[in-house]
Amino acid sequence: MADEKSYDEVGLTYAALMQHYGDRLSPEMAGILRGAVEAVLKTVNPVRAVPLANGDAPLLGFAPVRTEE
Amino acid sequence: MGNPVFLTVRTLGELVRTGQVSPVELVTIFLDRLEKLGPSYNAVVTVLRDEAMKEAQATADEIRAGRYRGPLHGIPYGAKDLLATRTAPTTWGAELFRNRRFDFDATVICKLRDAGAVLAAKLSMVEFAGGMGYRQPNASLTGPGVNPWDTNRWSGGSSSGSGSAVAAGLVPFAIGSETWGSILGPSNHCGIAGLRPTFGRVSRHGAMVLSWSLDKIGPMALSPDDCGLILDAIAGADASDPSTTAQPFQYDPTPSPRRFRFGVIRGVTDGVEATTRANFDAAVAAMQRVADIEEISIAALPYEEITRTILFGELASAFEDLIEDGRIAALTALEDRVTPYSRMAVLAKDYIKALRLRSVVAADMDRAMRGFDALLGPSRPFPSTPLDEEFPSAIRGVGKDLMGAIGNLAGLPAISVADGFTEHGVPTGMQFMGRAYNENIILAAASAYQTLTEWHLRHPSGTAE
Repeated sequence: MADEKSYDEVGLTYAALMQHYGDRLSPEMAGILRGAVEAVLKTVNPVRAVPLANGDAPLLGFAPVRTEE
Repeated sequence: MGNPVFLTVRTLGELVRTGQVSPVELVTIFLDRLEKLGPSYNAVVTVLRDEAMKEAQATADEIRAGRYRGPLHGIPYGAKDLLATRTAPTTWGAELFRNRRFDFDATVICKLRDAGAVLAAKLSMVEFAGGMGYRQPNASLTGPGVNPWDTNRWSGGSSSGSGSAVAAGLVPFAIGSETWGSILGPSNHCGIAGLRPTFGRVSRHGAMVLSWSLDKIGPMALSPDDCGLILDAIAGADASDPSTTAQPFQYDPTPSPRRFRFGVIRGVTDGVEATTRANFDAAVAAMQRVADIEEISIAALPYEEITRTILFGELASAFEDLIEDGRIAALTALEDRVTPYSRMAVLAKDYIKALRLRSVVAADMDRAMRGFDALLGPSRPFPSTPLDEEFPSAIRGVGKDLMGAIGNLAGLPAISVADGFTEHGVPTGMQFMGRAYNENIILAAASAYQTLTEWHLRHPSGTAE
């Protein structure tokens, strides 16, 4: 598995978002975005770090749809 | 009839049923209060005077004709402005939608109308229910929600108007919604009873979506008993909301004939503000008169991060159109115009991982709560903060909210009731969080707490007249 810390995920994600939306953002807003990206990755990294078994299924609400004709 | 302000829904309902007050009289009094006092608290988006007076007259005629529908018949209420209504704009708290109208009523609005309740106002809220990253209370087209206990402090979010309107006696009850903290938070800050039902208990059809798998709609009122009466009217399966459960709910106000058994999660008050913690400790001590209480341990998991990952992933999709086309630039709070872009950093695998962990947490918590009537904890880790200050928020990752994360992640019901006051004179609250579908048990427990204390009998000064 690739080491999540071996690359600058914050920097890369921030750069991608700036490339896409940067023209909408002032320098102050760009600073807020960078902090927000850091916060999101601080959120998902602990989630990524929890080990689960292959059979640990997600809690989904999906059910097939069959309407009467 | 005397002053009906701060009478419970049950009491008002009895006055209406017995003809001691007419719905027209009652609705007029609360409409006047909404118009006169609502602006002081930034609590109201739209007062529905004409529509409410017509409905009040119709309910009065029905009751006179012997068709009494139950305890909500003729009782005015307010609804958080994320519930679609035909008769008024539905703003989602955002300037962007100041004049937006739907051509249908949310299921909750329809159910309350069927119960005879009279919609008197659409109530203020944080824009887009607070999911966009706001840091200060002013993130709303109506301005910051003002706390009736201290008008320099916040009423909480995102159901800001629902909290302050009930606390200030502008309506006998209100409807709020919670994705993570939006019912319990304002209920805590405003010192009222607020019930977050089990996920799927109440239809969200016609409500703004922040997160499909986290959003819940629930009552905010003066007592747990009132919350039960209101939940009885709004609960139930709805074909328009596939998440609703077929599990029936019928409110049972009978006091528990036995001692309760409560758990307190080890470390639940870690990081909690000092007065909030002290008030909670005193509340736990009081409850020992009617309950056996023991500390429990739960697995060490990143509960807050799991809940946030699901929230971020779902809201990025729910508001994809507004994010992509740049309309979020019209939001009030600077952070709300920027932070949504960052939610795209949540990868699909992160979201699915969080849903897999949700399975683990839901099963673990159900096991841990077996044999307990409820888990106790502070409703919020901090009391109401000044209007011009940033507030701590577990959604932003600034501040802890273990029970809020777990309860919303696992879809568990919880009720907040006041358990004391701070040195600034604002309330703090205690929550009772139950197993799925056990609303009757936590309502009974919260009612039992209120037989032991008098915090719920206090009202903000200057609001009773």
